[in-house]
Parts: sequence; structure tokens; C-alpha cells
Amino acid sequence: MIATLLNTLLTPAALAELPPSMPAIEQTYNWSTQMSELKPGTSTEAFGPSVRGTFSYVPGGNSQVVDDSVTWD
Amino acid sequence: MILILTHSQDQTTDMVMARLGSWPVFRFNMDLWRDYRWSINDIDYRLEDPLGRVCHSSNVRAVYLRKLMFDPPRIDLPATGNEEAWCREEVRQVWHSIHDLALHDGLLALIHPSSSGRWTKVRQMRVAQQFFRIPVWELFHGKAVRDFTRIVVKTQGSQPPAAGSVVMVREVAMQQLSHEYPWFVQQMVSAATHDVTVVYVGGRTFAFECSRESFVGADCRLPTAVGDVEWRRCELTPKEESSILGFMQMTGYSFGRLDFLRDKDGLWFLEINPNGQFAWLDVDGSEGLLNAVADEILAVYHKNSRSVEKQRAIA
Repeated sequence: MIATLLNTLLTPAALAELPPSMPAIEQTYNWSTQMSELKPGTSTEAFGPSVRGTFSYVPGGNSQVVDDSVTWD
Repeated sequence: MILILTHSQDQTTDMVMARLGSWPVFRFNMDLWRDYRWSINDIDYRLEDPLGRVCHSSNVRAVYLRKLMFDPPRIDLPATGNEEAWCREEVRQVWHSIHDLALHDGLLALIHPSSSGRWTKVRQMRVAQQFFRIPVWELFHGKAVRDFTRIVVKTQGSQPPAAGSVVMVREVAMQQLSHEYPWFVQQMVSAATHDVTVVYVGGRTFAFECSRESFVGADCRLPTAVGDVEWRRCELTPKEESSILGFMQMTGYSFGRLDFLRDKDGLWFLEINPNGQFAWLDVDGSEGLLNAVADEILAVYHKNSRSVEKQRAIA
């Protein structure tokens, strides 16, 4: 059986599951000011599994935590 | 007009825009592409947002590149493709076209591709060893050639291996690594006391550090993202400053965020992010980082504005 990436690393800690207790944030966009706007959500269920750190909003919860990469675009 | 190519949830763009004064800005959010109307032809291009705000190529004096990101950023793609993926690729090409035109016309501000090609992590580490200490590293499939003692696993890209998950830098034992996968491992810098990140903005450096005692594990990104660690401004030695300038000159980039570890003997180079995030290091702008970025954008804007005025005067 081919090992999965997860069990190759033996422990799920190798994959940093985003903490489930992080507050949900509802983020909208103001077309007038051309700025994003943040509102605290009431529950993670209310707005889906979105997670936001200081600058790490993760729509849908399946993106990288910090969108740094070696690509310039 | 300053055209910013970004996405609607990018707070870095928000914070930079707040420092661009009253100069006209058009924000093109790719995640909201359905709300925009555009036309691009052999002569010019025209973008319009839902409020009727128009960006015409004849008025664009600077283009600032942030992040092309859709919402959700990634979608499941069947082998036969789907309409959403098709649309995204077409939109992605629009975005690249506008960006390429800006590069051609000298409108790109601060963030631009290197004239010497791609700077993958491998190339970065190879070249950076002229300037810095680099923890021994190896990419391999099968068996590593080098003998390592303590290693961490890293990734070259940022593709998540599973929904809701990312591969973080963490210590593993070499025998744990299956031969089934491609690996990127690096010698663990056990004596490191701090993570250091340096934002390079058009020749200026802004260095920040966080203590590695303030978080658990080898990767500061997650604790940084959730706000568990404090990044503070720090000083660089003249030699470190000189090394960073030398390395950046070799890359040809005008901007970058360079990541290091520091032990008692100085810096260990990890990588450079040519369009990395930075606003979280100077949220209130007191360190001057946001203004430095805004100033670079405005410098391109004013330079091209003067050029156009000069051409009009001659005509």
C-alpha cells in the first residue's frame, strides 16, 4: 500500500491543521472606498471555515496560512 | 492613475492605499472579477468597477502588483475540467496581460520580475551562500546523499496537501521519510534564538525579529498568523546590511522579504519572498515601512506622469 503524505510523516502535527477555535471573520468589500472591511463573525459555522490571522485570511479554509511564496505574482 | 492588481481581502493593499494620499487609485480585485467589466484590444484597455469608476490605460502611470487570488483560492478540478476553472484561467490571462503591458511600458512599481529569470529556492540558496551562512540542505527522491544529523522538512511551493492543511517546517527523523515522495530537507539550526525577517524596499532595509522561545515548533508562520508571537524592529550589523544589499542586487529585485534565523554568530539565510507579505510588521505605520512602499509606488507614478506631460508638451 502506498503511504499517504500524512502517515509518511507519522504524525498529523506535520500538517498544521488550523485551530478550530479561531474566531470567524466576515470580510466584505466596500466598493466606494475600495477597501476591505472586517466584522467579527458569531460562529465558525456562520461564515464557513474561514480563518484569519493578522494577515492570513483564508477563504474557504483550504489555502495556505501565509501566502508568501517564491513566485513574484 | 495607480492601478493595483490584487484581491478584495488583501489588507496589505488597504494599508498601502491609505498612504497613497489623494492620488487616484483603481483597485482590480481578481476574486471579484464577475463585478468588473473590461475591454482590452490592440490599442488600449478599459476596466470599470460596479460604481462606474473607470481605469483607462491611457491614464495609468503606475501598476502595483499584489496577489492574484480567487475565492475560494483553489477548487477541485475534475480531469475533464469545469467552467469555473476555464473562467479563472481566462481571467488569469487578462491579469497577466495587463501586468505584462505594464512591465513593457515601465509602469510596474516596486514589484517586478527579475531580469535574470526565476529565483527558485534552490537558486536563492545557491547564490545566497556568497553572502550568508546557509543551513545545509538537499532536495531528493529516494535517498539523501548528504549525512544529516537533525533535519527539518520544508516545501518548495505552497500547495496544500489536503483540505485545510499546510505543510509547516518541522523537525523529523530522516528514517521517517518515505521513498515515495520528493523531499526538501534542511539542517536544523538548533542554536537559533530568533527568526529575523528583513523587508527590502528599493534599497532600504526594515528588519524585524521574534524570539523562538515565544512559540513551539520550528515554523513561526502559524503562530505569527494567529498573533501569538511579537515581531519587533531590530538592528542589522553593517556586514549584514551589506550582504543583503549585495544579494538583492544579484537578484535584480527592488522588493523582497528575506527570512533568516539568528544565533549568537549572526544570520542564517532561509529564503527571499519577492512579493511577500509585510504590512503585519508595521500595522500602525510607525516603522515607516508602509510609507516606504507607498513612496516607491508614487515615485513611479510621478515619474511617468512627468514623462507623459513632457511628451504632450513636445506634441
